[in-house]
Amino acid sequence: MGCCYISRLPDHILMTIFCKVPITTVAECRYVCKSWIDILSHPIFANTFKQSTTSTGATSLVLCVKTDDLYFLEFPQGSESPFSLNLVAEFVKRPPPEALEHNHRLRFVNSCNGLVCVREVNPLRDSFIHILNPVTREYITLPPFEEERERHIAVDLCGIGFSPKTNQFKAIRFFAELNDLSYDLNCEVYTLGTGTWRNIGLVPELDMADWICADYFSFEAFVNGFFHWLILTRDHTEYDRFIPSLCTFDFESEKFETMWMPPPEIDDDTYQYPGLGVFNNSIYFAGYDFCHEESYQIWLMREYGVVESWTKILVIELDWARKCFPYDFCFILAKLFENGDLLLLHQGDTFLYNSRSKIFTKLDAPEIKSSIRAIVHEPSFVSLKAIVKDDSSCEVRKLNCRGAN
Amino acid sequence: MASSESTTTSTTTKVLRLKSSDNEIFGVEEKAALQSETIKSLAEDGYSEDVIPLFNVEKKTLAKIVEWLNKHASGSSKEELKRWDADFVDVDKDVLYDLLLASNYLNIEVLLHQLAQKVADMIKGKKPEEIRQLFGIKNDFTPEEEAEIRRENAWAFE
Repeated sequence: MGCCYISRLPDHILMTIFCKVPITTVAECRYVCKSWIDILSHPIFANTFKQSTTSTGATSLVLCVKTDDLYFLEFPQGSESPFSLNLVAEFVKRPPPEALEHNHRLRFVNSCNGLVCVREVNPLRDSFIHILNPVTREYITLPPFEEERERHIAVDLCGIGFSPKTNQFKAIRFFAELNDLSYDLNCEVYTLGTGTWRNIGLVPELDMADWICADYFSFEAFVNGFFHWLILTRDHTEYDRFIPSLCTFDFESEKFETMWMPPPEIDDDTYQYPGLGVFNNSIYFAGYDFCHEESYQIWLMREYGVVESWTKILVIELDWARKCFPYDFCFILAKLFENGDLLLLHQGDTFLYNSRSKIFTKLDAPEIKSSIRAIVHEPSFVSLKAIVKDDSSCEVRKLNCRGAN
Repeated sequence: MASSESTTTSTTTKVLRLKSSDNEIFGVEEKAALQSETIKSLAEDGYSEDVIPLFNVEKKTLAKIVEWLNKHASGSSKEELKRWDADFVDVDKDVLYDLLLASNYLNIEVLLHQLAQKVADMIKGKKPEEIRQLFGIKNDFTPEEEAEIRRENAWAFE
């Protein structure tokens, strides 16, 4: 008695089981016994896991802004509870109390192929870019700007991307350089494992002011080795309107492009609070239309780069949204699920929107009552150590977990 | 058991006879039995008139499987099925193991996922030592490897 054969199941059945376990527990399972390490380190498992999480839309990463705690928010299919929230880490270390008063903050920038870029803004110190893998609980801090660049002004834009052909992770950041009375915007690239930032030159044809606006939306749409983000360009007409354009950065060639690929009907400043995201490897656009339809709309570019393929896939009538959120119905879309449901952030709370019943359900968890941010994350077991190799400029460190004490 | 039931319900319903590894024969309505891809292909291969031999499933496990197949072909409501399934998978770990192997061999996708979910729920939130205890898994790391893991994974052992 007491002996059980579950661990002797064929590997593929064990994998089916592991794919249904919350990612934080899967990370623990690796330390149960040697055969489990083998199964969970196997590329087949990585692949199966990836497929099962993308098809169930399983994982979001949640950062509690006030406490800097990091959680996995998972939506396990076939399980009793609609969601589970698991602590990944108390981020780096507690910031000093005086820093909190000075608006110390961590913020998500983006997530790409299992790695997450987090920006730490601390007015008392330099700002840092951290790259972390929340599954393996590793992180590195990229070298900050050097002190002597006095004429440089750091710009809040940064992010992590991946070049599929060379199999390299690359971080990018920007700084502005005073040139007579105007600013030139420079871009630097840091290939993980190489140890240095490389200046790739001026960012072409873009107004500094436009770029500062872009920070507000951050780089969330990474598809096919390209970053996509919206920038607002002044049209310099008598109305002085801001028009959204789609800007791309190719992590392969390290080149910028501006795509004017508006979804149909977006030909002026129709849409407010526009944002981009990724759904099934396609770019989506979400925004409020106050001019024509009075609705919140999500458009999907079904075929990459094909303007005609923009399709309106979801509409929430603003009358209805106002009824549910009488004081402020502006929410941020954190995630678009396979079945059309939405994960929305609203004034520090998290809501699930059921697109069939049109009901907003607040995710009630004591951990996430403070103001939070959430991003879509594709979990990966890739070790940062294996990526940065012998790079001595950034030491691979472990995230702390207060819950373990 | 199941055979007498099915013959009384309808005379036109075809009944397949399944034989366990220890030679017990179970009669199951074709509609129910064909939820198993393995049985389906065996039936298509001409076994449908004879007894279908299932060499890898013992009678006590096959009895449970037949119970599941019948329930899932009975047209129960979604809610009722959900409750019934929850009770069905609420069994001993060793029975779970046998059912997992059988549903894998018989290729009953839905059941396999239900059982896997049950095991996943048992693992959920547990630390490595608790998982070892749960399933009676031996810690086969050497003290050196264990130390390495502790260093690698310090947060889990604090």
